[in-house]
Amino acid sequence: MLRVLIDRFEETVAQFAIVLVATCVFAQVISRYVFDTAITWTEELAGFSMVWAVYMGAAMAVRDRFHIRILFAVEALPRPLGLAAIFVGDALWLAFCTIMLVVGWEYVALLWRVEYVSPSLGIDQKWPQSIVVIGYVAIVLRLFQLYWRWNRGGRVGLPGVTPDAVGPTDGTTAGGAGGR
Amino acid sequence: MSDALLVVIAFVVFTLLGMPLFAAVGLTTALALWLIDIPVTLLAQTAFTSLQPFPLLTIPLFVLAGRLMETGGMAPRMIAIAHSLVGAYRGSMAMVTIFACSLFAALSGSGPATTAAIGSVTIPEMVRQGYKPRFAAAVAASAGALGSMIPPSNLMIIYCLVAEESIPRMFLAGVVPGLGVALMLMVVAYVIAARRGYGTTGQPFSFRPMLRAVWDGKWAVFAPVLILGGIYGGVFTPTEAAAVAVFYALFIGTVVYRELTWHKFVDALRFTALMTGILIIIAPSLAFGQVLAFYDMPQQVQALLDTVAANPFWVMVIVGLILIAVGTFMESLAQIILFTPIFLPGLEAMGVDPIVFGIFMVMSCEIGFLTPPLGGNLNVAARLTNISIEQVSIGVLPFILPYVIMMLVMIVFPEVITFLPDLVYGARN
Repeated sequence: MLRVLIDRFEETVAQFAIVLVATCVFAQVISRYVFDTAITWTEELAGFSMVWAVYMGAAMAVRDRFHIRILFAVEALPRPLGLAAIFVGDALWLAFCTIMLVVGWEYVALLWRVEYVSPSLGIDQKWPQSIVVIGYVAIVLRLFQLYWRWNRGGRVGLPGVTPDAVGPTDGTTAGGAGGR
Repeated sequence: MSDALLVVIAFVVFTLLGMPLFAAVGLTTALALWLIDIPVTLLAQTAFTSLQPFPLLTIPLFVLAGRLMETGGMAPRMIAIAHSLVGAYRGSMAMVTIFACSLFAALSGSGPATTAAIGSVTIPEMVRQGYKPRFAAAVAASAGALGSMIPPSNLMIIYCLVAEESIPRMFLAGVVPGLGVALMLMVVAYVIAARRGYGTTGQPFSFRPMLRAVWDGKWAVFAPVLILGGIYGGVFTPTEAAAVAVFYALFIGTVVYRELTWHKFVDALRFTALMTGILIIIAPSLAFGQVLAFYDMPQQVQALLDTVAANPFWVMVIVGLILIAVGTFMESLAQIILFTPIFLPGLEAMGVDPIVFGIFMVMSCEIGFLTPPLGGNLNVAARLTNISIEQVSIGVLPFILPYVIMMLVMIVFPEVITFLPDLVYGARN
């Protein structure tokens, strides 16, 4: 149970958020044409859900090696150099995540002090906005997980680049990589 | 060394190290902000607000709808219709593939998805009829790229968000170039098939079987009517149209065709979540675009282009070549987000319509779908055919020609793009 939770946490949240986006936008159409009233809060809720879906999906995409990156240079290098390039690149990636966590945290902390209510839902902005911090935490964790798996899998290929046998990758990823 | 040069070099190095592009762009932006003493907090604000705009929601919704329609049984019906229309000629299965891709493109916004939906049925059939696998894969890959040109199109939505253009107008602008390319692809396929004697001549065209196929596929054919008709009839916005498409696909897949299972639905959601995840690149990129303006980057690019070529024709040719070259190794989504703010201001100053440049950009991305090392459609088609990507990329060469021709036509006669939107919405200014 815990394993499933660890493997599929972001996935589940992201899937739920996407269902929410679709339902909100559809509800807006239905209410306008069927019930003849315009509901306004759906647009805002859909927007919030979208941001949640993006960050949770981004963490998922780390796990499934789905992010857009340019690898032909690294893959053309001899293995020790390629490995070094990936290590440096991932260290820089981690540095960026750290920057985002710091500024993101400051921003949410600011929202914590001054109450800032969203215009149509009337909820406190700090709740939806905290996803930036949550998202980057998840991204960092998934990055560490990639290294952990790579190490455990016998350090084959490049971490986070070469598909591994351990990861929970299934047909979706294989069929998905080209589906962008 | 100037700060601007330092920023450019940093970005190139980060990218070549294989960093995910969103992190490469983000780190470059942080560096660029730090160099000119602007608080990096800007990144925290765009991290949330840039992902929230209503039109952006259209992308995951169209991805989900496309996936549901792909697995929910719509593609085979569209192929049947295509077969009844163009099945009578030599090399008919190739024509059927191209025609069916054009049809499917009218309900899908993605090139590789169109290749997968149609190619998974027609490629095995072509191979069975004795077509060279390389040729079969090439046909599906090249026609699948129409998915991004014939509306709706995810790439166009991204462009409209970055360039602040109208999505419905942009969609209309893609119709004529999209159909033009489809027609040229059919000519290429016909010539090759006739010379090599692929396939047999099928049943001659007659009305009854066609009407029958259209009737059998009525639910599938109604999908584009609903999506595009809804947008242009002013019934709903593109985002709402995408949500309607999701629920329509769900309804048809579960109630009418009964081919959509719970498992397929969850799978489609998972795929959509991954696609939505890579949209994270929008957040740092929009901040990056703003910072580039501080560095006068667009002006510098324009000055550079001015020194290279004086007249707009050659400038567009050069920009086109750059975009095609970039498209060979960069994901289309990233290409549009990163290069639109660099080129568009300069080209607009030269009198290029932003809609025209958008179509031009998307067209160059489609060529990128078809060229290694990173050809989305090539990957899909190669996997469906069980041959190497190298093989497909050789087979696809003659089919790139229509795209290149169309890009040249666009430069010389931009009216092919603007004619339809101008007719519907009136000329701009």
